[in-house]
Parts: sequence; structure tokens; C-alpha cells
Amino acid sequence: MPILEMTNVRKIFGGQTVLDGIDMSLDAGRVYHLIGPNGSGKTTLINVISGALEADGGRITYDGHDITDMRMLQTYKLGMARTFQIPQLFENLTVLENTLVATGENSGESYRRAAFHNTWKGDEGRAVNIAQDALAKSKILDKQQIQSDELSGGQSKLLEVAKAIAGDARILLMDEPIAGINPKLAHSIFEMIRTMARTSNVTFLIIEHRLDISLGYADYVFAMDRGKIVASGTPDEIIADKRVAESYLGK
Amino acid sequence: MSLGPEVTFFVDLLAIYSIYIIINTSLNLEFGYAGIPNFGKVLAVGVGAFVAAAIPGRIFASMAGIEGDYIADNIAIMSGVNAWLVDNTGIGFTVFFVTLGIAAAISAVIGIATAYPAIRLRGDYLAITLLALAEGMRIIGINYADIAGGTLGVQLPDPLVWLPADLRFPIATLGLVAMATIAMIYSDRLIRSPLGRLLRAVRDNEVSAESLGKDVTRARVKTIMVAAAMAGIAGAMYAFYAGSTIAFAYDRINWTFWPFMMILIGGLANNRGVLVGTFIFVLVRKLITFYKDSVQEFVPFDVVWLDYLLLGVILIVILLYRPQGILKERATPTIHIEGHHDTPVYVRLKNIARRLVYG
Ligand SMILES: Nc1ncnc2c1ncn2[C@@H]1O[C@H](COP(=O)(O)OP(=O)(O)OP(=O)(O)O)[C@@H](O)[C@H]1O
Ligand SMILES: [Mg+2]
Repeated sequence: MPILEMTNVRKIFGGQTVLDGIDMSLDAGRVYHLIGPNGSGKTTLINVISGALEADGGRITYDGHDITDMRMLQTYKLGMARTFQIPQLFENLTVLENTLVATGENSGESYRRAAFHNTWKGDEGRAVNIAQDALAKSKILDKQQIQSDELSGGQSKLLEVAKAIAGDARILLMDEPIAGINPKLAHSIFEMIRTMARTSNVTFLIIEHRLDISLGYADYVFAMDRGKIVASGTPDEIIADKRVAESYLGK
Repeated sequence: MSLGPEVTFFVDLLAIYSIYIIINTSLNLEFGYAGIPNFGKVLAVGVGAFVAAAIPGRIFASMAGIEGDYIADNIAIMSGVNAWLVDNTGIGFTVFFVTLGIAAAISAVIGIATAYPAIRLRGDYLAITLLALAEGMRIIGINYADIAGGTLGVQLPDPLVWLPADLRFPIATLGLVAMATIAMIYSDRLIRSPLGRLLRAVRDNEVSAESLGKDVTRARVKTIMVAAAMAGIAGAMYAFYAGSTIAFAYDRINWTFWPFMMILIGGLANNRGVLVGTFIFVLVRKLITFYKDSVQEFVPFDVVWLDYLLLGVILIVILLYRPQGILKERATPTIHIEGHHDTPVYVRLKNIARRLVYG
């Protein structure tokens, strides 16, 4: 049974149909790519799935739940996390603090307990370990004490990845996670992603433009154009697909 | 024994400093850390003062068996109550603390009731809504005399009436200092916790916080509640300290704009900044008042405008040359991490000691 399923999902922005009947089906523990030319609706699709935007039609189910009308807060609680194309950081917080916010529920976040260190220091100790682990996997642990608005564009992207993997998410929606990152580092991020999928059964839906680097890590690819899925298949099938070549690769 | 003017000056300074410390730490929690522009700060302060004006006096009067209309015969009733309190100090203190609790609770509830419809509004809209609602509170206080005597005000019972007259204000001031210290420590502990981090995160990026499963609305609502409770306690204590309350006194200048100014001078989202900014502000105002007559010859206008002028200049200079305030926002580490630049002094000392002992 697929973990994430979409049927006829639609999104209209002021008369412009940006998602034009999307059907997709994702199985757990696999790495999916979502490719397509600029403005084809990839980011919008992630926004609609995660609940940042409301769908104007269709149905989205995740792990047996109808999440079509859920907000991000709720989809996160069901085990879905996402990154943003433009990094959304807590700019006055350090890199470590940014990641700590992303480690899920913490008993020290309640007014009742916050003033009493002893009631939450256990949770917090675990959270620090999880956060530092996520930072290490995202190759940005060495910057943990730096205030996040001092990071470069590429480093911000890495922190964005760390925030997404720090929670216990079962599915991760990533919007161009390696944009602005050097090829060597980008490969190690994708290796980490593949390992998480293989060993922890986490599902990935990744928007990517840099196919020379990323395509080798994909199990399956969806190609979008003008709000529609125009092709899907293994990376090899997609490269060979005429419509994809026309709309995207040939460009 | 009689206190000299310098002592009175110092006691006054300390009292008003302490009151503002409570209000400003609560505003800093709301605005500095959580990013809620509470332009209705006076609301909670005024509600606290109104509670202190309306409730304990009536309780004491009925306990002491003093008859009469609480508002119309207020002065006579209060002198009776204060005479009775000389022999009933225990009850006096109990009712005093219960009043603080009631003030905190009612302020919190009213804080939520006014903020809730507006909580989903962004910045400016929320600020304007709260500003207007706080103005409404003052108008109710002025026109509904049963609360705080309307335009005439009311006297408050004095739980410290049994003290020698000269010691009454110094001792009351000690109480204010104690409460300010508690407020400071409480707020500092909140900030150095996962909650503090969450509030700063919600302030910096609401969308990201929500995408990480944080209930932004709930965090804001709780913050407004806690901050309103703190400000309500400050308002009630101030009313007790002053010994009388009048609705006119709870205006947006003294209890909203000045507090904003103090935390902006000191530095937002920094509790030490609150201590510094409040001190500068209170001292400048107090000095101007104290040396009013001697200053008057040197300024070509009425000296009462001098503090507005001077404080305005200070604020503009700070915002121009150091927009983050005198002290910057700092990371608030929750637990010790090796090599952290912000390791508290006592942890560093402990580490040094450990190295010395264990090699
Ligand atoms: N909030 C919005 N309001 C109006 N139009 C929008 C909005 N967001 C996106 N669009 C439009 O929807 C279309 C799809 O945008 P989207 O960001 O989803 O594309 P994309 O595939 O992610 O492109 P890119 O590769 O450049 O990131 C574009 O034409 C864009 O202008
Ligand atoms: Mg996009």
C-alpha cells in the first residue's frame, strides 16, 4: 500500500491553474524525484501536500489519513516534514538552536515546566544529541554555534536539511536541498538521504534541478510540466522520455 | 527619626525601578522574545491596580464591620480599615497576597479575552487593536466609579500601616524589590529553556515554526497570559504602594510607551538590557523631577517637557547608532555544550576546578 497518494490534485492561483490534476503514488522507503522546468508547479505541489497551501480540488492521503485539508502543523504531527526552496531559518538563533527547535516535542516548551530545569533537562539532553547528529549528517556540525543569519546560501540549505531530518519524520519533502552546494558535499547529502531511505524506511520526495548529481540516487522520477505529471519512471526511462527531453532536458 | 531627601529620592527611585522591572520583563517576554507588539500593555497594569482598588478594601471593611458606601464614604471607611489593620496584620498580609493572585488571574483572563480575536493578526494590526482595547479599559475605569472611584479615585488599605511612618515606604520598597527579583529570575529561567528558544523561533519565522509542528497561536496565547499576569501583579503592587488609585493614572504613556522605550533602549530580547534600559530611563526622569527647580532657569520652556525631550533624544540616538539597543540579543543555551562561547561563568569555573582536581 502506498504511503502517500494523490488523486486529481488541483491548485489555482487567480485564474491560473498551477496544479492541473496531479495523480501520484509513493511507496515507503524510496527516494522520489520531482523534476520539471521553472514555474511548472513543483514547489506549489509540496506546499499543497504539506498543508502550507490549501488544495482547490482532489484528494491527498498519507499513511491512511486524509490530509487534503490539513495544515502544516497537523501533517508534521503525522510524520511529514519539509524543507523550503528559500531557506526558512530562525535568524537570531544559532545553528544548533535552529535544529533543536526541529527535534519535535520537548517537555521544556511548556510554561508549566520551563522555569524548572530539572523537569526538562533529560529531554533537552536527548534533543541536543539528536540535533547534533542531524547537523553532522548534514555536514554543518562545525557551524553549530554560529548565528544562522551569518551562514552562506549553501550553508543555509544544509541547515534546512538538518532541520528536516532532526524530527522523526517518515516522509520528507525537500525543495532543491542541494542548491548552491558544491558537488562533493551535494553527493554526500544524497548518500545520507539514500541511507536514511534504505535503513530507516524514510520516504523522500525531492525537487531537484541538478540532475547530473541527484538522478543517480533516485529510485523513481516524476516529471512535471505546466501543472501536470507528463512522465514518470526510473531515472533511465525518464532520460529516454521524449516529452521530458522536450519540456525540460532539451531546454 | 526622619528620612532626608536623599534617602527619599533613593527609595522612590528603587520603588519605581522595581515596578517597571516587573512590567518591562513581562513586555520583553511578549515583544522582545515572542514578537507580540503589545501596545495595550497598560491594560494589564490598570486591571491589576483596579483589582487592588476594588477588592481588598471591601473585604477589610466587611471584616471590620465598617458600614457605608465604599466609594462615596471611601476616605472615612479607609481610615477605619487602616486603624483595624494595625491590630490585624496577619489578615492584612493574607488578603494582600490573595489580591495579588486575583489581580494576576483577572489580568491574564482579560489579556486573553482582548488578544484572542486579534492573535492571528500580524504586527501592526495586532498592536492597534490592543492599543484601542487598553484605552477602553481606562474609559471604563473613569466612568464606572464602583471599580476605582471614577474621576475621584479611591484610597487603598495599607497592610503596612502598623509600621512607623518613616519606615513604611522603605519597607514597602523592599517588597517591590523582592517581587522584581522574582519576576526577573522567573523570566530569565523561562528564556533559558526550550520554551525561550521556541518563542524566539516563532518570532523569527512563523512559517518555519509551524512546519516543524509548533503551535504558534498557542505559544502566543500562553505568553500573553503569563505576561498579563505579571503586569497585573505590578499594577496591584503599585496601587498598594501609592496608597490610592485613580483611573486617569493608567494611561498609555506611562504604562505602554515608556516601557517600550525602556526595553528598546536596553536592547530587546535581553533581560540584562531590561535592567540597564529601565535604570537609565528611571534615573533620568527622577533626576529631572528632583532638580526641577534648579534646571528651570536653564531651559526656555516649562521643565515638565524636559524628560520627554531628553528621553526622546536618547531613544533616537540609540535607534540610529545601535538599533539593537545597548545590549544585543544573545543565544540562550539551555544546557552546557563544550566550547560554547556563551558558557555561563559558573560552569566555566566548575570546569576549571574539575580540571585542577582530576588533572
Ligand atoms: N502564492 C502564489 N500566488 C500566485 N501565483 C503563484 C504563487 N506561488 C506560485 N505561483 C505561480 O505558480 C506557478 C508555479 O510556481 P512554483 O513555484 O510551484 O514552480 P516551481 O516548479 O517550483 O518552479 P521553480 O523551479 O522555479 O522553483 C508559477 O507560475 C508561479 O508564478
Ligand atoms: Mg520551486
